[in-house]
Amino acid sequence: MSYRPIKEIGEVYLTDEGMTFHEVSDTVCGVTERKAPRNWWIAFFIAASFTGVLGAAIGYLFWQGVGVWGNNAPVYWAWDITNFVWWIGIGHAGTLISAVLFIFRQKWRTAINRAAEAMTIFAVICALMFPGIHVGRVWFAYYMFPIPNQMALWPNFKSPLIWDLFAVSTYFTVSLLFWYSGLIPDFALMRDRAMGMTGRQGKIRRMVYGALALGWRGSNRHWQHYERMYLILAALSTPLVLSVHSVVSFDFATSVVPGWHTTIFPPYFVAGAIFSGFAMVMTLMIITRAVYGMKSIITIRHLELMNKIIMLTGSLVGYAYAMEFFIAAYSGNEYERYVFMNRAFGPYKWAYWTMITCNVVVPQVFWVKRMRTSIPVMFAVSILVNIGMWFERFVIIVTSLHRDFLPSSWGYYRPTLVDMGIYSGTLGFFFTCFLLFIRWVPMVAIAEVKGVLPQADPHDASVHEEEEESHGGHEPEPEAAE
Amino acid sequence: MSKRKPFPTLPDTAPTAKKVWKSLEEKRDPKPAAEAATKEFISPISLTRRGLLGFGASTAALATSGCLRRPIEHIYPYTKAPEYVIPGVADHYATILPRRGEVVGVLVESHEGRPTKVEGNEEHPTSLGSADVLLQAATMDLYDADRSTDVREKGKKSDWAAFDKAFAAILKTSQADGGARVRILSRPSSSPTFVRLRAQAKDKYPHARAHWFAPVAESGSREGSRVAFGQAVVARYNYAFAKAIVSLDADFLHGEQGALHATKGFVRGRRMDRPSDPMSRLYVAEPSLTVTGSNADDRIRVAASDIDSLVRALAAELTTRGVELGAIKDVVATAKPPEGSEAFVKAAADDLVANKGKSAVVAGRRQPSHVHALVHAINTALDNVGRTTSYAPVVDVTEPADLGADLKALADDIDQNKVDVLIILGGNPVFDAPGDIKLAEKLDKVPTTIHLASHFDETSEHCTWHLPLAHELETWGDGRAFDATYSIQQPLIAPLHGGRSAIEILANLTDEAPKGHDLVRTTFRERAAVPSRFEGAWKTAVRLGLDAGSNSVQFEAHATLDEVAAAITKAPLTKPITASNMEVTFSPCNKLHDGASANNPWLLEVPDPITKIVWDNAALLSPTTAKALGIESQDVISISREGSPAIEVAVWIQPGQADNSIGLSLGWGRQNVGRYGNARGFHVSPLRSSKSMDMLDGVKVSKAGKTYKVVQTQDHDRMEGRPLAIDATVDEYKANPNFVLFPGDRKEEVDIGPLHRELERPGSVTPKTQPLWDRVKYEGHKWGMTIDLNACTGCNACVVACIAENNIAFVGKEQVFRGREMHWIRVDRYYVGESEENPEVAFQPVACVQCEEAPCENVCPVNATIHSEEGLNDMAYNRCIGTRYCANNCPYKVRRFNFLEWRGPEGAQQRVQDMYQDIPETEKMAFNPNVTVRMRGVMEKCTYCVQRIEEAKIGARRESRAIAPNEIKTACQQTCPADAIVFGDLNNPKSEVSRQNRSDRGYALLAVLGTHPRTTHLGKIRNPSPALRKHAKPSEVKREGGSGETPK
Amino acid sequence: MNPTSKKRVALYLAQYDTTAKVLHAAEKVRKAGYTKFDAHTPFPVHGMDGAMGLKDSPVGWIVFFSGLTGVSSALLMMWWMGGVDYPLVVGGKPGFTLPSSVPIMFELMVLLSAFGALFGMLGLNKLPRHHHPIFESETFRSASDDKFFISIESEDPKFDLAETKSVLESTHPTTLEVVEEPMDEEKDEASEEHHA
Repeated sequence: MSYRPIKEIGEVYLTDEGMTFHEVSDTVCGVTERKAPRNWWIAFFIAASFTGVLGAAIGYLFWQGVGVWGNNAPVYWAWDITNFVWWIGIGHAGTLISAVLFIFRQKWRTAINRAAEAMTIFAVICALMFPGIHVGRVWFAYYMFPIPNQMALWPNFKSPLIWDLFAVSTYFTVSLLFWYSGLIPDFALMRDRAMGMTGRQGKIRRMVYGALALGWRGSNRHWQHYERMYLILAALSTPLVLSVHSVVSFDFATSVVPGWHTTIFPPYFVAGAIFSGFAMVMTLMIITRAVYGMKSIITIRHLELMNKIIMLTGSLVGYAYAMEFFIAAYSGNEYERYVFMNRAFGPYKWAYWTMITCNVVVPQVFWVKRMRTSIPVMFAVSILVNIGMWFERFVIIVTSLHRDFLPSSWGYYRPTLVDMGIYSGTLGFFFTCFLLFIRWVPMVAIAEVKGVLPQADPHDASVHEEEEESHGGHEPEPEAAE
Repeated sequence: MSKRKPFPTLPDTAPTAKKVWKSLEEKRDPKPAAEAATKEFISPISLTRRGLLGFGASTAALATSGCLRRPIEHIYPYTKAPEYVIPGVADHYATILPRRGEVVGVLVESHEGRPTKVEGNEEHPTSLGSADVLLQAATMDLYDADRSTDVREKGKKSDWAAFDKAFAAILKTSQADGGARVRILSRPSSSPTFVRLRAQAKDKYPHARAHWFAPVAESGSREGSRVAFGQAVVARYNYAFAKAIVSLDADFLHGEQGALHATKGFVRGRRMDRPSDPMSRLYVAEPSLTVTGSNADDRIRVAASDIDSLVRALAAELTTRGVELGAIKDVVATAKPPEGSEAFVKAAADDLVANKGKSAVVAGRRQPSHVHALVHAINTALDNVGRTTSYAPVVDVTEPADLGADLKALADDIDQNKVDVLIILGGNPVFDAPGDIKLAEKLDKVPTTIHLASHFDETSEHCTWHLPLAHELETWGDGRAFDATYSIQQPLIAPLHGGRSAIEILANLTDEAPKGHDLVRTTFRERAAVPSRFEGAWKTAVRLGLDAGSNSVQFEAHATLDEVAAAITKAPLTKPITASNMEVTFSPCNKLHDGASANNPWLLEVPDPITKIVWDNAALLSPTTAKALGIESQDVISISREGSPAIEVAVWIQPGQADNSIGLSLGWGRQNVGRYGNARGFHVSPLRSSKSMDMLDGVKVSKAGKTYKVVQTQDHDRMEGRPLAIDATVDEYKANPNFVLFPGDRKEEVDIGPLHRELERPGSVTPKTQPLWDRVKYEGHKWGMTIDLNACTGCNACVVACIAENNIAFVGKEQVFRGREMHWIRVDRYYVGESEENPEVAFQPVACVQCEEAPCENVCPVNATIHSEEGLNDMAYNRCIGTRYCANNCPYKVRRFNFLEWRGPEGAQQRVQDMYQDIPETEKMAFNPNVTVRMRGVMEKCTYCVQRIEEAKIGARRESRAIAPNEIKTACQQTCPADAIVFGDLNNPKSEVSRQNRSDRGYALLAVLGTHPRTTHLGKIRNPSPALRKHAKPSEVKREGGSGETPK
Repeated sequence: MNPTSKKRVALYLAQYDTTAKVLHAAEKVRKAGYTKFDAHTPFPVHGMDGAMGLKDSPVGWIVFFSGLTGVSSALLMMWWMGGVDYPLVVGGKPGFTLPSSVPIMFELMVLLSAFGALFGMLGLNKLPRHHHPIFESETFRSASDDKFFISIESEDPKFDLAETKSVLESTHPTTLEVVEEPMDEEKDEASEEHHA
């Protein structure tokens, strides 16, 4: 199917009026061709140094053992899994924007889906780190894979952790394919623009982008298969994104730990994931938009639409929190009841109420249009939501574990410097990757944006009647006609 | 089509005779030994498995600890195999280990000449097969890497040759004046050889003088018995027959002499197999909550100094009930019981009278002599003598009544330059001595001081000569148990550091050759009835560890009431303890006792049975007192009293502590004992006074303005109304035998397979939803365990036994603070009932309950924990990658994770604060070669001592017989003095475990989760006095009906 | 162009500057009976498939079968490993259990489907191909930017320099050129360089 100019959403065009195809190419590709602005270098330096911290902390962790973290008995999982779930959640928004909105024909996605997908990939890399490094004997982590070994044992496919392994690695692979396939036409454009360039830079760009473009020549016979593939990948990613966080939630939901053992977890986790993901996209978009003057492509309208989603999903998780309490009370299960009272009023109440404030209360400001459309407000909110969602995972994991069935074994968890080092390190790593991405890769899906420009519609008044009917005869793709 | 059966196992007809007696029989006649030697070749299993593990623990240990170092240097084949030693097959030797003034008979397991584990000696009346915390930790004392290794002269390395020469010279010179200027300071000893040699020395040096000192002594009881009976005796109570027991500041289940024996009897008197069974009632009045107090049916908090008035009041009450106390009647007529104990005294009196001849009144060692005398009188008057109480003579009749005074005398003599030569045989007097004696500076004045000690300790620093003392497992010796059983101590290993024993040093003052073996034989020969049969008698005595029938010297003694009356009249009542007149009490630490084992990491890390504090001691205050003084737990206070220096000690607020009474425990704050024990806890001896060693009133308390981190293994004390350690009163039990169940929950036989039916065991509502699959049927062995909460006294012996058996690592205070202790079995201590000041206590030992539908297994991604064909929940260490998911999902929280390399190579160990980098070579010798030593990053947990199960199965296969019903004993079960733990085959109807498993008190912990545990807990029964409630004003009733923890 | 290397006509290339024009042109060319022709656009132009008379894309089928492979191989793996090769009693459950296998079956299905989709597409498009004669044209570089092209290859049976030219001219292209390619394969790279 192909794009039509935006009549679906309101009566507004998604890009500034009168933008030509070439201007789009210039604005986006220009970023990668000009020298990097000073702010980029500053940001990159900071991010990179945190990546260094990550390396050091992980090295220390491997040398000494998990004991350098604050994890203890009974809180055997703490920041490690908290960070894992948090990062995975963030990743989900990317897939959601590129896949789900695509299926629902939300054309406004085109401005942000590329960056969102990139964010997904980097976030998932950060997430994947934790299952790897949090095990006691890293050098044996490969036991988790179904490969023959000296003990002739196979993994335990009944363990949610194994489901997790398959789900997350699948998720990573599919996201990567999806992202790359979307990039092929744009790489072709970069290649062709590089043709004009001279000197070593031009040569390198020609070779690299040329290789990545796979010799794409915009042939319509290719576009036909390409679009079908893209549609299918989107159709696959949509259930995938739902399944991944459901499986992640199984890690908790299938256990016996009060506070974990809950059927509401899958939908609740998915909502939370979208919530935090959109917040993170928002943060990144606002920054890049400011740094690279993309205001004409990433318009306020895009951001407002995202804020609406943030408000919706925020209310969804709020509902989930309430529902958990109701079920605990209604179940009559003393352990379940205790855990939830303990969450709200126990030693970790500060974490719980931080979570409630950031996730449920704050997003409600978006009921007001002025708030929805004010850059500073939405930036602040997006940050707060990310904090809140981190605390959600912390609350679920730590407060449930630290007081479970036998009071004799209750404990309290305190993080160590290494915990913090590794968490901030992953943040650094994430932003390093993202900065490299906006430096070298078109951060907006150029071909798709062009597709939604008004002049992309062959059925403008300028076209003669006979063409109208002649091509009206065979409308190949039903879903193209809304 | 399956290539592999789920459980590939060897054909198994069941287990072997108890290893213990096997080795002894072998000694009796050599034939079985010869067979055994050949059997080794019959059974390939023993050759491969045992053979591999057998040669040296550190080999096996380190080899399995992730190839961190290669096991090269320790593997030696038996090129010249010693007779009787089958590589990999442990031998057991009977011997004794000394206690304060007594000895306890033990069996020591030895692998290729390496003692690895201490167990009780079933034939020895003092242990009856069980052992306590200190005994279980004895091997770690033996392998203590900081034990003194050299003779030292003025602190500089020397050797025995030099010392012998010097010593001979000294003795020669001092012989001139008959040794007038020679003093011998030793601890009270129950060793006939020691006493004999000292007597001989006395003959040779008529003017030499002996002194006695020990930080914890029996002074009061000895003197009391001398008053009551005219001679010093050791009282022995038969708690099994006593229906009413009144303990006055006596921790007879833990701190007093003969505690193991007492516990056995006490528990036997309270077994409840059915509601109709009789049950004894225990009244306890004490200042600090003790193990005994926590097992009391009715307990009140009374300051130690007020016990005197309480016992007088009790006597008065008894006389009013027609008990004949002669002259005492008038003396105590006017006695008033301490504030708040009136009802208690009345109720106790009622019960004592009602159970005349079936009761026992016990006074604690710390109480003054006239209290003991009065107690003896009461027992006499209640016709208990010969029924529940009997008496045995003391070994060392010359021992003075008041050791504090005796040490003071020595100090004064030194001041008056009456001492040239001071020989200190064992003990650490400088550390232990009361503050007012200032022994250290006194010692410096003595020209020649000789100190025999296991460590170069606080005392050695002030002595001319330091001599390394050999451990009891390294030397010959003997001793009399508290019931006068004559017991032999045989060495299991040559002295590791070339030390000598006290008798070997003492022998130098006699004409006998300083050879431990000969000295002991001589003593034995002297008392052997028929010299011709000496050799045979000797062999038997050594084998059994005791001279059978030697405790027949026990006798019945009847107190002379007039003497007692006189003693009481002479002893004025002390000022009652109030906020203005606070007292401190000194008791031996529940773990370290007097501090001789202060460098034993096993003991340091095992939690105190009551406070659950590890790696420290603390001053115990009652909540009220603490509030009055404005003190919080972990504040440091300074305690002072005129006449002695002030001490600083951290506070712990302890329910059950008497108001205005501060509980201090001895043995902590060592400065010079070794890597683990140095600067742990607080040294309290300086506050003591030679006049009154064990309790002082009129102390001043002030805040020191500091705080000190005190670490517990269990920091939440309440059950939060959950049905965990379920208890009921006898009446509640009679009314509802199934009190452990929820209403409407029935125990029913459910058919889970063709072969056998199993008993569903709800501890609360069992899940009604059916599982998706049929339950697995275990048709061969089906190992199971029962833990009787009614028997468990909470002493923690099982914990240390498990540590010793399963090579469990210690992690240090900081790591315990992070909740990373590694104990496979723990004793949960819950406070029950409304009262914050004086709650009831419920102990609940929890190890892995071996769930049949184990939550931990489902979540392990790598199949590292799975079920064996006998239903054991197995851990495959070398498969574990350490996701810790299993531990999260274990509702019992019994899984332990090696967060760091607790005993690994350098570097890793640095993480474990205040630990050394690498495990010392000697400590490696303590490893049990049959158990893998776990590395960093691996999960571990209780295995039901699978190595013992396999050993039994192999033995049974060899002899092609079935495993006997109660043949296999787990380490915790074996050591338990209360027989609270029973292990066995649930599929074998003849086994004790299958019998107890069906007890109506039995319930599955957290059954609501449908985990189907193999371990069944038996509910606790309390027997509170109805009389007490009758007498009490409502305010005093501390217990309304049930504990509130039983499911309603 | 490099005169020394031997050339041969590869295709006609007509350039247009609106989507409508190129759509119209594609119509014409198809009507004129050409089969080996193609449209080159910076983004998929709506209705172009119809204009060129393309059949429905078979990518869906490829995905379907690779997905099927995913599910079945996952099921087979877990059944054999857990139920046949090394059955263990885990939490009192049988060696192989269907319910706990569902998540992994789903994940593997998605994974293989995704591979099927991307590589199926590349296969059908015979990509990657870096040396298509059309790259010889300098004007073609804007095909990925803002211009639209129709190309008719010389392999087309109806291809004839004169006639094809007239057909294309009738569609009012902004430019029209004959693209030649060097006959010598290994020269290929060099000449492309030269053009750059």
